[in-house]
Formats: sequence, C-alpha cells, structure tokens
Amino acid sequence: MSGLIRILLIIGAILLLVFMLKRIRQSKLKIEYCSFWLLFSVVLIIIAIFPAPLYVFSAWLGFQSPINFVYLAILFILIVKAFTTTIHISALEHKIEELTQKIAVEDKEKRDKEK
Amino acid sequence: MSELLIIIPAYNEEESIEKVVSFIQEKYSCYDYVVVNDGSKDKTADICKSKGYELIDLPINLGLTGAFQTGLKYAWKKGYQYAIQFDADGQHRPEFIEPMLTKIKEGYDIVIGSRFLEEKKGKGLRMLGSNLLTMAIRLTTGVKVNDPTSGMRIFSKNMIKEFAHNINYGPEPDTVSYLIKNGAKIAEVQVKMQDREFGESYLNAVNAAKYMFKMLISIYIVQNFRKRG
Repeated sequence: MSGLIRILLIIGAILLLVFMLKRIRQSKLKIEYCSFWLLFSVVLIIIAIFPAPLYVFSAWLGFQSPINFVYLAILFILIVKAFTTTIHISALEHKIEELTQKIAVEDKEKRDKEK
Repeated sequence: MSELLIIIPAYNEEESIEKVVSFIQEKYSCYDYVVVNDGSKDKTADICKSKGYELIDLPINLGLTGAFQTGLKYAWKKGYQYAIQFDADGQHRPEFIEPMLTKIKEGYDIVIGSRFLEEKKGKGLRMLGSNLLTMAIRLTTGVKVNDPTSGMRIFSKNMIKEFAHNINYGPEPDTVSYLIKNGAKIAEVQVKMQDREFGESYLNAVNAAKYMFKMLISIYIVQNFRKRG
C-alpha cells in the first residue's frame, strides 16, 4: 500500500471515531452501538500502521495487491453490517407497529368505558 | 406511601416471582414495590395480575436497562426519595434493604449491596470478570468498588431523576464508573446473596465474554468522552 493510502485510511478511521464519540457525548447514541465502529476504526488504523502481516496474508490468498484485499475485506464487513442493520430495523418497525396498535386499542377501550 | 420503592424487573421469572413478591408483601410491607414485567414470554405477567401485585407490564422486551428505567420513571413520577433495584429470581434478600437505606441516608448518591466488601472474593472465571471490572473502575476513577456487578443497588432521588431521563444510563458497572468520575458519591454495604433456585443465568460463556468486552471498552474508552448534565 502506498503511503498516501495508509494516511487516508488513518484519517478516515480517526474521523469515524471522532464522529461516533461525539454522538455519545451529545447523548445521541447508545454505547453498545458504538462498539462495532470503534473496533472497525481501530482495525483500520492498525492495518495502516502495521501493514506487514496484511501483505503476507494477501499474498497467501493470491491477491495482486494488498490494497485489493483491504477493499474486499472492508466491503465484506460493511455488507454484513448492512445486512444485520436491515434485520434490526425490520424488528424495530414491527415493535413500533405493535406498540402503536396497543396504545390505540387501549385508548379506544378506555373511551368505550367512559361512554 | 413509603420513602423507598423496590423495583423488581422480571423477564421470564414465572417460577420465582411469586415467592419473591409475596415474601416482600408479608415481611416487608413497610416498603412499596413494583414489578416491571419486561415483555416476558412465560406466565410472569399472568401470575402478577392474578395475585394482584403492583405491576407495570411492558408490552415488548426492552432489556434490563429499559425495564429498570421504566421503574425509575414511575418512582420519579410518584415522588419516591429512594429506589432499589431488586432481582426477581430470588438472589437478593430483603433483610439487607434496611442497612443499605441507612447508608444512603448518610448522603450518598448510590449504595451498592456488595458481596465482597468484608468477605473475600472466591476464585473462578466469574470472579476474574468481577476483578477485571473492579480494576477498570479503580484505574479510571481511583475508587475501589468491590462488587461492581452486584445487581442490588439503591439510588437517591437525584439519581432516580438522572437515570430516568437519560440515554446510556444502564444499571451496569460502566455507568457506575462514569458517575464516580463525574462526582457522584458511591458506597458499598456488605450483603449476602442467595444462589439462584430457578431458571438459568444470562451468563453463559459467550454472553459473559460479550458482556466483559462491552463493559471494559465502555469503562476504559467510551466513558472518558461523555459529558454529564
């Protein structure tokens, strides 16, 4: 990997980290949701600073250039994250529907009783 | 109305809830209590309703943080001076509520019912976890909390307000660390706990490892960036 790409990786990872921690500071993010991004950016920084093991690994897997391996790995991790996030959102929407319906039905029952 | 509210979060505790609540009703009726059913899939809510227990029945599962926060919102709304977190599985013994209440009246914000204040910690993986958390809190705050994972904690009125209305205030060791760092006064009182009679603990090996990972990252890193108030 070229020096520029490594620096970009580090800058990107640090920006990500700062953004997440800022959200927590502003009480806008739950701590458990930040741990994935924290870990993700720490791994990126480690890869950028100590790329040697990555070179060995990517050569062993047959990549033409280590950066291709980095792209693919990041892509894969983000796809998995997007997938689990989708499942999570779907479950949340279902919960909101349930709650809204429950509140509305109970409200109707309450008004029926008052009649 | 008593000055203390016992908050009993319950998730799938049909085997033990009756014993725990009826014991409090009979022997400790001087304290008010409320069961917060956390969307249990078993008969926990049915039992509470048929027995006429004080019950807040959450329609979905929120997890311990959300369930306990519900109890605190109720305590705040009703104007209780103190609130105690009390397990529905029979681990906590109500006879230790009084010494904890006496202690918090000395002017503390939170008093933890500690298994290891006067008695030494045993060995084994669970105690290793407890020790790691004690060390993490000590290194980040300078204060020694002997039993950070104890679920028996009593909260003063200002803490009830803060916990009831904010995000990232789980009843967990990382919140304790954060509060100490931000000036809250915390004490421990020696208590004894019962081994679980029914049900199984959340703490299988994988969950315990996840829990430790989450707590340690939170205490060592994330809490340093938080701002109180």
